[in-house]
Amino acid sequence: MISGLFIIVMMIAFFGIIFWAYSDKQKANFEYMSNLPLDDNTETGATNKTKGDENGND
Amino acid sequence: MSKHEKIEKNIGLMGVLIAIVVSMGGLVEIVPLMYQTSVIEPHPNLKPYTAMELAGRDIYIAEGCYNCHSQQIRPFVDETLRYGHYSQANEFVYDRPFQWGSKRTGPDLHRVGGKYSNEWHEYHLMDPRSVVPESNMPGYPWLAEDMVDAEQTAAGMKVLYEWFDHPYTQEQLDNAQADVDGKTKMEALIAYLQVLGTAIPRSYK
Amino acid sequence: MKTNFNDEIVKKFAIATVLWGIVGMLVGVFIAAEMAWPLLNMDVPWLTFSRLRPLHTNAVIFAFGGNALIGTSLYVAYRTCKADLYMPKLASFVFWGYQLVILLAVLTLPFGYTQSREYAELIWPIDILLTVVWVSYAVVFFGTLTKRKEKHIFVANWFYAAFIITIALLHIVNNLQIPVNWHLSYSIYPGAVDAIVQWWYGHNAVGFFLTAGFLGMMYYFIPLQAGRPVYSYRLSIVHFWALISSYMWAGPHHLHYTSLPDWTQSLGMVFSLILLAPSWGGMINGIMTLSGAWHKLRDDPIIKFLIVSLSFYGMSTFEGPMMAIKTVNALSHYTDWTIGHVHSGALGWVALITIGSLYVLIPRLWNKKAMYSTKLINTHFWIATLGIVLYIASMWIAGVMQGLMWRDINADGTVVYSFAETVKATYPYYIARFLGGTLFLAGMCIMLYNFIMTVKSRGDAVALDKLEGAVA
Repeated sequence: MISGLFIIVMMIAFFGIIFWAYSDKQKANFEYMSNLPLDDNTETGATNKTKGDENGND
Repeated sequence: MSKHEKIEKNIGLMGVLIAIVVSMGGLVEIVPLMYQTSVIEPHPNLKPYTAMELAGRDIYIAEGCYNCHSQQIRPFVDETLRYGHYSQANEFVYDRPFQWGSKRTGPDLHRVGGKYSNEWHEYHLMDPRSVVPESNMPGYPWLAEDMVDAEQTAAGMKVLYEWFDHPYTQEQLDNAQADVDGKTKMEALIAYLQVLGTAIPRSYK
Repeated sequence: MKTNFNDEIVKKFAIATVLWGIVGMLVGVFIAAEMAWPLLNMDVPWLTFSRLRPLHTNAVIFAFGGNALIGTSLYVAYRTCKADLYMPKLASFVFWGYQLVILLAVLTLPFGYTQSREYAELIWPIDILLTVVWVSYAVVFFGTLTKRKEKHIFVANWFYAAFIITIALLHIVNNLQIPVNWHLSYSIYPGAVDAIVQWWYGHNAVGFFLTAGFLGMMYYFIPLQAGRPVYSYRLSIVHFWALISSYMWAGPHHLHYTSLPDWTQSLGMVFSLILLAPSWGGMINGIMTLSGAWHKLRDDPIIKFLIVSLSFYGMSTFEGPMMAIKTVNALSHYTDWTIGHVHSGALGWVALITIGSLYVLIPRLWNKKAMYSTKLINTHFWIATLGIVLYIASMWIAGVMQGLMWRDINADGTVVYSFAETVKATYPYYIARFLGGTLFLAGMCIMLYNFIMTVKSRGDAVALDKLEGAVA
């Protein structure tokens, strides 16, 4: 009984996460996030420029 | 400001969610065992380690024997032929910590008790290749010279008695220090090896 | 720019990673030699295999891996949050406190001060020190996340966060002991319960120390070096929750066919099989990050390190669930197959992704254009890969051979081989393994040389940096 309920809860959580992750709402945000490692890091020298801009916005 | 608060909450929330998710496995798999009779009730023939055996057990741990020897006979034909009756959970209730091991560079030791003479063990621990030419076990000759820490053994027995209710008699507790005083680590370790797995006879039925 | 401190602390962790890596692997090579030539302990207690093996495992996992994880996690946190590290002084304490824990491990384990819990051998006073250091680390890491200027938390930080939280939980629960004196203590759990607590810890030290943390490394350093965004950010989210929710259940597969109740073993086996899915999801996400830039795999030896590490990750996360199937485990358990499996993960995945990430990180930290010698990185890659292949192949063969010899029964119902005969048959493989380990260690020494030369070199990245900084 408990284990059955537990499996159902886990499945709902799992599909919930998939639904959320693959919903169109998140698309723009995820595209931005997936580029984050590249942001201000492609070359050591380029680092500070973007960083400066970001700080300026704050 | 409100934005900042929200962000902080997110990290906190994520931390809490992670903690919940990772705790479930342990709660389901470990906690029930703490109440399962077959796991926590001692075998009727099982006795708590005497002072000498306990001192030997601490040496077994300190020397790291568990790195190469298991104490867990699986219910397979070859294992019961080679090592004796398969291991049962109720034989280990006085084992803190457990010494089941994970690797057999050497053979399993769960029922090594009574299999060899004390003399054999002494030769073997001094120079393993003197009795088993193929062995890659290191020699432990210092065990014959080093003395057991009697104070530690007595203190250890007291902890097991007071905290974990290991059924020692008052006499055992009182005599603990005297029982191991002046004994070598070799003698203590062999005493421990000789009691291993003796709650159940080796012969598999 | 005022980001100086951030880089300085990460530099220290980078140096510690390489140095401890060499120490830990040197001990590993020595004890590998002892298995082939047992006289090598020369009857000295602290040179004996059983005393040194815990030092090897602790040094490579917690000193090499741990310094790499803490260092990169701080780097990734302040980079992707675009914020300075929270409480710099506490971060310094984390570094020195952590080194002190490692030093104390070196001073206790070879001298017989141990709890005998695998990968948790440190005695109780050191456990307490480690707890203090770890909580401080959590404060610095999570504090940095709260200070972030980005709206969302980048996924690599999630993995690092899960690693920090879970290791704290595992460390505390597995080390609950009653002290007898300053070094000896007895576990609060009896026998079989103690066994499952320990392997719940042991398995998830692999899952969260050696996997989740390094996946955090993967999600940052592979995109960075490949110059490509994370292949699927959506997949990374599903990957994260699926991985951390299934890993913690798989511990009992370390205790198949033991006195542990059957239902626990079966549950552990099922979750071990489930674990294949999130593991491979993550691997595919990492490898596919390179799509559109496959040529880099040919030209850039750092990419080789990173991508081959994922191949080994995929291989060992396939092998793991297979070995968790009870019938397979009946053969593989207690043999050298396990040792081979562990090292395909530890050398192939953990060490290679760490080495690759460090090669990305070192020039950035010291403001150099690139590593001193790309050629030496390439040499390191091939020598390391060859070493791993030699190591795991010899241990696989040895393990399967041992398993088969142990179970061989004569027609009259007696065992065919004595245990000693199986030891005798293993010697050649122990020698091959020793050679494999030596090759891998040699690669680390090449790395150290390249590291030193990079730091000493007069790359012009500094000048460029200053120029652009002035413009900004």
